[in-house]
Amino acid sequence: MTKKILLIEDDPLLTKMYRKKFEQEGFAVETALNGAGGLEKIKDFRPDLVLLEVVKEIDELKKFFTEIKAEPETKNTRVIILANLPISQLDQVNAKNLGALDILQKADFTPEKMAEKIKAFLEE
Amino acid sequence: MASSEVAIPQITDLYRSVADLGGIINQATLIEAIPLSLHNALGFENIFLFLVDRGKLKHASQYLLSPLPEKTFRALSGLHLKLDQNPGLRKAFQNKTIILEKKPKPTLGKDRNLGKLVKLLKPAALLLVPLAFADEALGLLWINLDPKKKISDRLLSALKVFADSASLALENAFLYREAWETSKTYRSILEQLGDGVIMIEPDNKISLYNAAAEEMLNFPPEEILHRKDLDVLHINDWHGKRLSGGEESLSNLVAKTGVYAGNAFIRALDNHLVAVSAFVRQIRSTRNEVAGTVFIFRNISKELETERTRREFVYLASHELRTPLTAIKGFLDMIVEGDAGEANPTVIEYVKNAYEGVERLLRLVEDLLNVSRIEEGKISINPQSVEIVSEIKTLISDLLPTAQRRGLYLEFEPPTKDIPPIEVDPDRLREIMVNLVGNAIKFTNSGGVTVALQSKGEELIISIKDTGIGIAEKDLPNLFKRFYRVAISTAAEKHGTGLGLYIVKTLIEMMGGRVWVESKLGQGSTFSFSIPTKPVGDLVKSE
Repeated sequence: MTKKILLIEDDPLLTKMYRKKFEQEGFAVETALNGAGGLEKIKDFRPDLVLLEVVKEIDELKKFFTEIKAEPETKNTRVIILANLPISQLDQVNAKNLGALDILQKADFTPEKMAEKIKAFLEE
Repeated sequence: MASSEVAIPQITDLYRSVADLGGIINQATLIEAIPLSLHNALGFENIFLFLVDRGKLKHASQYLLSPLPEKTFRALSGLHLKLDQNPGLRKAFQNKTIILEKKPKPTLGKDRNLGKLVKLLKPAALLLVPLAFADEALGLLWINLDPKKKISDRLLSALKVFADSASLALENAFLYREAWETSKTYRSILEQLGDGVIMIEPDNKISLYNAAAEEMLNFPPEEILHRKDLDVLHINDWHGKRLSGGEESLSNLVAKTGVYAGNAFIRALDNHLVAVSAFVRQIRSTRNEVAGTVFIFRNISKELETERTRREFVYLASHELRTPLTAIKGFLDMIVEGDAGEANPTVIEYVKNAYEGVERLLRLVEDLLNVSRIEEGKISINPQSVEIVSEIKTLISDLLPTAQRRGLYLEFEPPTKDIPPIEVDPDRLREIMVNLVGNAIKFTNSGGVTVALQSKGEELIISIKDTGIGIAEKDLPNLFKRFYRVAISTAAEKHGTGLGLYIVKTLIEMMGGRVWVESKLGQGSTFSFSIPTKPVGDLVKSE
């Protein structure tokens, strides 16, 4: 069965890049521009994995995860946070405490590596 | 001329006159008072006071029983006695002896002016009393005497007492005037200064508040002067610590250290906060007693605003640059991976070149971002217990492919004895190592890099030794400065931002360590840094 990925990203170039790559890798891809739009799409699209980029403030992140966990249908949604800036170990711990699978620095991952990483997560 | 006898001096009259003179600090008043006082004390009736001005005795004041014609005064003002042409007078000054001329003639002395004075003032008999303090001639009392009266020894010694007192009073008045003029000069300098200056007395009351201070704080001087600093000055440092206000006084701030320097906010009249660079120093007297506190401050609001804008720009620019660079890197990678169909080998080669360029740009942006974070105090050190040997082994195996691509070895020389886990920030350690080992690989063309770890006293020393091109002696002192780049003509493409080593040094120092380098041009370099194994009490922590 085709795995579904929701990409929450506001940069059109990056959105296009990941969408192309992930579709080539056989995923179904949906996109959202912001956290609120992302939450809507989670309910409708029921993704197997969410790549969350746009939400940066810790309070907003907390709100995002609280809302996902509030609904029985969405509470098991798996989320990876994409970061623009270098990630510290503290960020890692924070992200995982919030309920994210992982936090990845975008510049460290070529689309190829990102796709591999996603496959690995979905096989778990 | 009156023919009254000079009375035997009354000790009380002398005492009173001398005491009165001692109380006069105004020079002009004192000059008028001396001849009159001499008359009151000892009964002399025709007295002229000459004062020394640049080596010449000039008429200054007089006490006369009967007035002299105007033209006599005019003539008197032109008759100066030069001390160096009057050996007799000079000697009298040196020995403080009183000269008595029973029948002074116009041929008196070598100085023609002395004779002219005799001709002009017509003394039947003359007393010349030198006024001197220490070895310095100050003035001369010229007393016209009635030749009929006798000058007793007792009168002469009373005259000497008077002369000594008048000399002391003159010296004091002179010093007072000098001090007053000096303080006037300093005062006007203080008023002209662009920096705010506030003086606080040992009882915490403010005694000086200059124009620049008033301009910055807007409080009128009457609301500041003679009030306690803790009542009127509300000063906090940038971390919110109170320096003055409430219970705190600036004098307490420097009670132990003697000096304080730092950035602070002062509350001005309309409650707005003025950002200042503050300097506080305890003032001590020559006897080493606390004599007050001086507070000097400069408005740095404009500099702060400029600095903030600059940092915001660097932060934003580097942040915003990352997104498109990531996209460029991603698309180039997709071409290489064949996601856009098969491309010919030349296309692949060029795209790979472009990819390398983007990677370099991303690293530069990262350096800029790191510097702006350091400058904004946004970098924090979060120590954790780390197994240092395995941590370094991991780092080395991560960096090994980079070394191998350049045909170099990258080795680890483990410590001779076991090292227990230490408290260190693993992220920062990684940043430091990646930078230093990365540099070593970058600047080595053959041979390789050896990383060594050893325990020395209460610190660990990590050294990164390469067989590379080395560093010229002239570059060594500047190596860790911001934006410093070593000129390497043969490897221009290897230039970085000049920020890497600055970041490395800052991070190492934040962790309580040191960094140093030994190198010779053509013979490789060894960069070493220390990590304290005992937890550093006050590690720099921010955010």
